Amino acid sequence: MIEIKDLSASVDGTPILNGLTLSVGAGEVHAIMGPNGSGKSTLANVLAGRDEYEITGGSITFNGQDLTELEPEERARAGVFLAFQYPVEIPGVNNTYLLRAALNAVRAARGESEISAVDFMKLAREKMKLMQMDPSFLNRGVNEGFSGGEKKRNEVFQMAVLEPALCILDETDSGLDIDALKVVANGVNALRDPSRAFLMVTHYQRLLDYIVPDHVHVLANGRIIRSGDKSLALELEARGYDWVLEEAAA
Amino acid sequence: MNLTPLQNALNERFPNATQHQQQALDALLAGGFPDRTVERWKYTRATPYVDFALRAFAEAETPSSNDTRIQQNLEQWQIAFKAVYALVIIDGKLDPNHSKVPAGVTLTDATTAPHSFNATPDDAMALLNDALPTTRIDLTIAAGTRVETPLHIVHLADASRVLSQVRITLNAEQDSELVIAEHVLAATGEEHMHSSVVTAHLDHAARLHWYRLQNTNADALIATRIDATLDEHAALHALTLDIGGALVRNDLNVRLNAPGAHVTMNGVYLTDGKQHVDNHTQVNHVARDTTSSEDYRGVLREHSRGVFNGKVYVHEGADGTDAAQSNKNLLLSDHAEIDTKPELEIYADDVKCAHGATVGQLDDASVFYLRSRGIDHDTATQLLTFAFCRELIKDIADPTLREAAQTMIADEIPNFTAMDIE
Repeated sequence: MIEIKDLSASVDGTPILNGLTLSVGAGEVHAIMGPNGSGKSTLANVLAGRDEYEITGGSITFNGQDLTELEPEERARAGVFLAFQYPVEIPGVNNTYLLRAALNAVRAARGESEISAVDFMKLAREKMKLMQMDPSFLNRGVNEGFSGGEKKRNEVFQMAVLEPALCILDETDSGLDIDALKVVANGVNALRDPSRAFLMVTHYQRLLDYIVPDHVHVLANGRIIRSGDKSLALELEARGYDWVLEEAAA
Repeated sequence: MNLTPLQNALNERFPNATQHQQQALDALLAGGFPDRTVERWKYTRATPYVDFALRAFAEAETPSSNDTRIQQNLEQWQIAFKAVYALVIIDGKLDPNHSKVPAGVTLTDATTAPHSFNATPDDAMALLNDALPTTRIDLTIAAGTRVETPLHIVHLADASRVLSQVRITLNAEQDSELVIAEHVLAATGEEHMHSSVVTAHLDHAARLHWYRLQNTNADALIATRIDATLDEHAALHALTLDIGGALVRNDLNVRLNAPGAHVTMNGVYLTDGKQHVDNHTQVNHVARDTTSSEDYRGVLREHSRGVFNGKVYVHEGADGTDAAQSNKNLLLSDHAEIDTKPELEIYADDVKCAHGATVGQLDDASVFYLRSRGIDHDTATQLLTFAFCRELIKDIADPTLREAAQTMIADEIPNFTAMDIE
């Protein structure tokens, strides 16, 4: 589904990604782990098309398309979704309005008609139930006054409504207590599908107890230094990152 | 500036000017009309108002109005606002046929009633309003009267180059509640001047909502002033929305005279072209345990200019004061300008005061968030601009009024419609 080849990117002239190569196929769940500052969040933001990140080399191909040529909104319509690490609060823009506009933009790109208000509310309620969210959240401003955990739930809720092809989760587990983590994981697992791929950026192994990945990659200094299956995550949990970094340097 | 030509024109045109008018003019001449060396007029020229008045009186003919056009405009307005109660003022004159007030509210046209001069408020624009012919309206809200349905005050300018003036004295008796929605409209695209001076007193636990929705034509000159005094537990909620006009100056002065009094002062200005909108506010925390909350937001485009000056004055002994003030501006053009000055003067010890001003563009992170959800860049920026203003509109309780205010804002944002935004 997505082929990342030799990708380099910088922020304000500082190189963050240095020749990253990764291939994610449909139906697969990949976890990207690594120490702070290794470039995990940069990778997530580069894939979503954030302006501040400058691509200095390499390529990203998404379903045969050059992703780097697309604006952020075009990527979203093509099926790329980023669940933000720090979702912004946008007072004055209603959650329902945003979600319906987003869904209709995605549907239009797929050649589908606009969803009716009734069908939309039905869909939204069903997905809110899945995420164990209070329906009153729909009438509030986007993330306005939400707790950290509520914001993360709202990201996965939006993902559940939009049904993207590639779901990128940027530290969705951070700041969640164990109950909230289970709800979020449950929401993600409900979306697992042979036609959908997941890229989960996380610092801790904990999330992977609930969303079991097919592949685990360790990112350091902007490139993948080791890949394995879920047992790699467990080993990292037990031994920390130093040994992988040392082996990679050797 | 030299006011002699104005004095001569007035004497010639109104040989029977009341003693009151003459006294106001004398006071104006004695004090002089403010120029830019006067702090309160540092960023805004007051001379266009005097020049307009002078031209209006120099013209031999009385401006003529068009009854059919007035009727059409009032009907359109009526359909948009579903107004039940209204004070209709056409070209500065109260129109009793179109006016109706709710039970418990007394309306008196005091224009020809004798009154003695007192220089309150002591302000050149208010004195000018006094010196020139003005319509005087007294409104009394009887004790215990509570009306949720808004009382609209419609100022419609129809006659060519008309100078319309009004002076409203409002007395809200104890435990009363009233919603006033003021509209400044023009039936034509011609230049006109609207000057309004409101003096309001809110008695014990009286509540007054004063919304001003100004969307007149692009050549209009507007000068408004509200002076309000609040008694124990009284609450004033003022909101001004300025969209039209070439030159707009709004003064809002509130005195919180007894414990428990509260004022909310909000304002939105959306400007383009060469518009100039100046909001001067002052809140006096005279008594202890009084609260004020102020939020003014501007969206400035093209070559337009905004001025905000908000003063919070906490008097000696006004302990327990809680005052919050904010002025936020979106500058959407390199040529637009905002001069913002929040001021705090505190003479009490136990007070909570917060103030701040921001000038900037839309938040990049918010734009990106919306785009990452499939919303295109232009729509995202329009939506965020709308949301920025809407924050202050959503507190309007009356749904028709709220939606009308939202539509006024949405219409000012190019290619944007507020459909389904609720």
